[in-house]
Amino acid sequence: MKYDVLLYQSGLIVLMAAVIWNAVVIFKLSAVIKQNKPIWILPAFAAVLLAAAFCFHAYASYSLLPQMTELINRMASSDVMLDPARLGTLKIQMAQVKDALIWLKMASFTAFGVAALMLLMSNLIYLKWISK
Amino acid sequence: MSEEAMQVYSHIAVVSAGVLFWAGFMVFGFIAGRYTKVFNRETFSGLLMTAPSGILIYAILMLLRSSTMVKSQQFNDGLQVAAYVFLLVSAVLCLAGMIKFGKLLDELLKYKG
Repeated sequence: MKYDVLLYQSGLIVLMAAVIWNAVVIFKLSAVIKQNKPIWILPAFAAVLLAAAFCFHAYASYSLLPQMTELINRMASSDVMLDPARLGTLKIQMAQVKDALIWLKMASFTAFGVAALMLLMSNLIYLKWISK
Repeated sequence: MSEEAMQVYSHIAVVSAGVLFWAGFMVFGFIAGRYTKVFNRETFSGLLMTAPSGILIYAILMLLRSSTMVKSQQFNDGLQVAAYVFLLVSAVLCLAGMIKFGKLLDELLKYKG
């Protein structure tokens, strides 16, 4: 296991915990100023999105990347190199795994970005309330 | 969508996310700062405003990594690890700030109640 993957995933989990705490604190602060609008839902949903980003990243790291490594190793073996049919099949499989990896990366970063936007929105709304 | 377009989109998304997270936690730091005056107590607003800086550094390092300026793979890997370390440290500090502020808030609400 590459340690940089663990670093990023640990960062995501701790960030998710911080966002959950943000939701709890915003919930309590809304009660302090007697605001009934549930803006705490925004950071709570952001935490769910971060969990989704974590799952996408984990699936790519622990399932697809080892699959890709195995395909590369199989491709390097001499009996595959000499068999054009098997080589073609392996190339197709590799392209499919590569596509899945790119899509997962996009989905993971999109969830990360939307989560950040939701956190910012809830805090901005609260700041606007207390700035009146 | 072409593969190149998807890669560009991913780079833009991760850098924007870093900047937005930094801004989100900074705004929370401002909120805590306002409550320093209201409660006349230290609300850890300094910690809450400096803690997300690591997320901004993460975004800058990821931007640098995705740029065409850096050609060495070894340097790129180093940038990625540094970015992840900044993200983790910053997230830990943000969590610590949130927990400290949350506990203070509980204490004050109990006193008020």
